[in-house]
Amino acid sequence: MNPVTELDSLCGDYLRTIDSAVLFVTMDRSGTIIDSNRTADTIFGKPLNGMAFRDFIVDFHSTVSLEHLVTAHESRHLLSVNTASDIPQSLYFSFYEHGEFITGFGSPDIREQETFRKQILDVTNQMSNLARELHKQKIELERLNALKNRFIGMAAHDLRKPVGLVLSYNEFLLEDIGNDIDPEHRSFLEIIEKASFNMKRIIDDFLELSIIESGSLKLEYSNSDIVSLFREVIEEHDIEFKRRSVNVAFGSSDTEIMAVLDGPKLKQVAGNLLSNAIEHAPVGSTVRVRIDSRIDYVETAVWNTGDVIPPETMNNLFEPYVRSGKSSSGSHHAGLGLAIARLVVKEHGGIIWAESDEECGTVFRFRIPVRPGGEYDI
Amino acid sequence: MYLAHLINGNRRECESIVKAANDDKESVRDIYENLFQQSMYEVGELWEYNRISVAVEHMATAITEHLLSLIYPRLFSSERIGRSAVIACVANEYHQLGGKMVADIFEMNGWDAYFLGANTPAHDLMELIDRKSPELIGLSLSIYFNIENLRMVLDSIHERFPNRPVLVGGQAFRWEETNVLKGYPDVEYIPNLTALEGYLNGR
Repeated sequence: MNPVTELDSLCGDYLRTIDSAVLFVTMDRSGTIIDSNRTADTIFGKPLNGMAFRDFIVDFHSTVSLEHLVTAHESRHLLSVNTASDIPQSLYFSFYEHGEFITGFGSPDIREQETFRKQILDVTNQMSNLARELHKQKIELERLNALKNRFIGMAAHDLRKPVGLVLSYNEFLLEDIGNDIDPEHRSFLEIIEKASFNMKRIIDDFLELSIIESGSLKLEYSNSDIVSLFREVIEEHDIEFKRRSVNVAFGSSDTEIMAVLDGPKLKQVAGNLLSNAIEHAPVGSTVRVRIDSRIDYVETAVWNTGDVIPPETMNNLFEPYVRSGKSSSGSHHAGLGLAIARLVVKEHGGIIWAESDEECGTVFRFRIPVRPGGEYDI
Repeated sequence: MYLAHLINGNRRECESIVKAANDDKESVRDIYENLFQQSMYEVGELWEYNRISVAVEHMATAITEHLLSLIYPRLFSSERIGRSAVIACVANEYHQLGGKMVADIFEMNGWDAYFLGANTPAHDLMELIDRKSPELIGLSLSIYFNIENLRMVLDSIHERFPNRPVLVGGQAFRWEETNVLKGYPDVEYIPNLTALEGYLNGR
């Protein structure tokens, strides 16, 4: 055997038996594959023998013509082939005619692969460095947040006492001399009372939020009737309803719905939702409250027919210091009620959300499991 | 077992091993040294003896970089001590894992470690040193043939920030070829993570 034939034979054996970077497929004139090497079969995931060449390649627009590929055999043709991993692979092909058959050799572009490899390496490095930085910043922000909570907690705690004193002494003054002073001076005392009361509520909210956010909130669970709990809260808001000339309609699926929850905390949530609804309800309208018992959870809803909440506010409605919309009552608060409601509901293993549109108005709903840690289908 | 999973690309199995070590409250340094560093040294050796390909080495590196992030919540939670360091790999140096682990050991000891990553151009490094004014600078070198780049960076640091302590380490010096560092009085060679921690505790 002459050396050239011997080399040809070696090359043929090599391409056929070793997992090399070069694949070949031999087909008849109709494009049916009659022979392929191990590389081609490995890439495709099964033997190609008997398959149509057009099913091996990815040809979205049916523009690949075997005839053209063969006539232009001196140029390399970029074709993508289907692979076992379902991620097509692009190879550069050259096609040769021999007798009644056509053989196509395909191989990757080494320079392209090198660039790709380098880019992947760079991107992986950068992504991993970015992840590290994000982790670092997250911990730093958590640290700052804890510091902020501690500061707010301390400030709120220290402010509570003097505000309480202002309220108490003002009340004494109103009781003792309220009727003896001229109406203008009495109105001053009433303004002090109202402002101090508002300030106390804000301070209480700050304290509450800092306690919950710092993770120090300990729920005290007991078996409670959530229907009577909401009824009590509605009664407690009677003055607010009257002052704003807003009506209330209450309904529930059952006369009594028992759940294991922290009664005072859930009352606070109900109160916040109700105050929020009254605040945004137009004068003369009705705030509707509904409680439904489901298999594993309880769902509550509080509606008002005030202005629709804009979508940009909707996304961070339950964040601290965000107001749920333009208040029709003109009341002043820190915008912590909904944030506290969310945290308390979350501590109960529940979820809270709002819906708002022209047709139905605005509704705040929350669901809590009937037992702590209970699973329920959201 | 961990090494076998690593070079076979079994990321989930590697994650389980690291999570178990983390949950068992194994010290961060032990996890870094016994698991990450040890396995990557072995991966490097397997590659040097042509037992695995470069692609497998890169895959093992990428998995390890991902696994580091499982430790980060613990790592960055350590109490800050108000000291800072800048860690970088010199120009043309694409192996950043060692440098990153060094930065993490700084963090574990309460330092703020600014990590610049692989292939840091000298002027970027100088700019960050200027901006952050770190107490220490750490340089990582994996390939000894990049020693010229290291020398150039050391010269620049020495010129622009005289007397600023510089720590140098990495696989390039594993045969104790540290003669090149002798001309720099402010430069100290740190052979491994334990030595680094010892150095930090002594400062």
